Amino acid sequence: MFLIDAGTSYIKTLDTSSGEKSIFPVTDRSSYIELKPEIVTGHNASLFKGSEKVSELVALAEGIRTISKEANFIVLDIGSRDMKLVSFYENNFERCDWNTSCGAMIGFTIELMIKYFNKELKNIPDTDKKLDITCGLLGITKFFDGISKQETIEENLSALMNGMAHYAWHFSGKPDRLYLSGGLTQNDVFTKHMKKLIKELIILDRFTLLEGLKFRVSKGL
Amino acid sequence: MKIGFTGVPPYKIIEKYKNLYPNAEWTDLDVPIRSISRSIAVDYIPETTCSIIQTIISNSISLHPDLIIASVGKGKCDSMSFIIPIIRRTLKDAKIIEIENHEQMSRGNPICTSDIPLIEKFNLITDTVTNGPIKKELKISKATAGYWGVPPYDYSLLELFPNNTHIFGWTRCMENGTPNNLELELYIDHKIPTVFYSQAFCAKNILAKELAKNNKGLYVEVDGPIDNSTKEKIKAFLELNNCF
Repeated sequence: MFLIDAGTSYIKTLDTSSGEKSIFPVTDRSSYIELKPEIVTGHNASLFKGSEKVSELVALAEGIRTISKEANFIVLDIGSRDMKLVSFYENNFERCDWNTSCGAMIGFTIELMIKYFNKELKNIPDTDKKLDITCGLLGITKFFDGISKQETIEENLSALMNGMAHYAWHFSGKPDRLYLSGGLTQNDVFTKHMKKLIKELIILDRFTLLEGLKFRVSKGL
Repeated sequence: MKIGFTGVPPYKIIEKYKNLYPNAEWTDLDVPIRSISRSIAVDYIPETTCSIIQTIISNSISLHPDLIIASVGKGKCDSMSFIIPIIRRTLKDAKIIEIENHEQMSRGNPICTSDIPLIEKFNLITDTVTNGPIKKELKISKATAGYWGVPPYDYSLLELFPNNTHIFGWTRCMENGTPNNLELELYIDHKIPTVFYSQAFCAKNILAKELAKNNKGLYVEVDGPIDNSTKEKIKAFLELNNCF
């Protein structure tokens, strides 16, 4: 069965028969627009007409359940456009949240700024400086204030990510232990800032929602 | 004769003016009217004002009622008191009656706990403001979900819920005829997965967020029409809690 997580910036696919996973940037529309998934989730799910659509939060909740067998835990998925949170308590679904306004565009903003200034993540330093932000756009404003004071672009990019890490931590309820999923798991600078806040950060990948869709297929849902 | 009202005025004053003007055309100024843009209000009040208050200003200025029965005080909100001078200045020949509702006699909540679609529940409850308690008998349902809050600006939100959704919060106070009853407004059933709704820029967000946090509910803050992401969040919360 062919499954798609159609995110805001990236289209992730999974062929359950071969286990093959692929990622296409949304900008490369011709590479994915003809695909015919049986089930689809994600912000761009409507691009795939005729496919069964599943809520992103439901896909995340069912996906993390196949990954973690623990009784109590929280998972945070940070994508380009939003943050999704699901928690389980004593093996039962406890609560969920989905931040689409404040805290929005965090992943997209980080990628945009790094590309705009032509920087590489490996050259971004660690810093304790933090830009107090609640969304990507406010973060950009603070960032440009910072570099206008002759502070380095690299340090301010790191401070931007530190601010976003703090926001994500608050959004999660300041847990000591957290599963982190989504595209930002691939950003070592961001995860390093998260690790300073959370005692135990378990880093997954960007395919958790597809695991949820796979679970639905296996259960015949 | 055109009569507008806001919130839940005491039923006695509604009856008084119904008797005085039996052919009057009554309008709930809190409720959005498709042909009237709420953006009219931003010429008078900040955009960071809740959608309901913006709607009241826009409806009042567009419909120009002859009489407005304006609920103020704890049964409504401070913003309502603050916009009355603006309406007075703009509608110079309209009569405006400011009134608080301290009614404490309970009418009960047969609509809130019934098995009819949530959107119909809200329509019936808002009707009770001018028509009094519902007369027909409704079947009580076993709740599988809860909605806490005021009537939303965008009723399409209500279509997401199962029929067995019980209503809590200020809307429950509305049906009960006691809009100034904080104890009832804070009452919820802890066993029911509940969506705690509040209009953006409304002080009731403080209650909604706190109640959601303490009861594993879902806190939702919406300004104006509901967006797809918020709809998806509510749908997921109801699905993951097996509300259907």
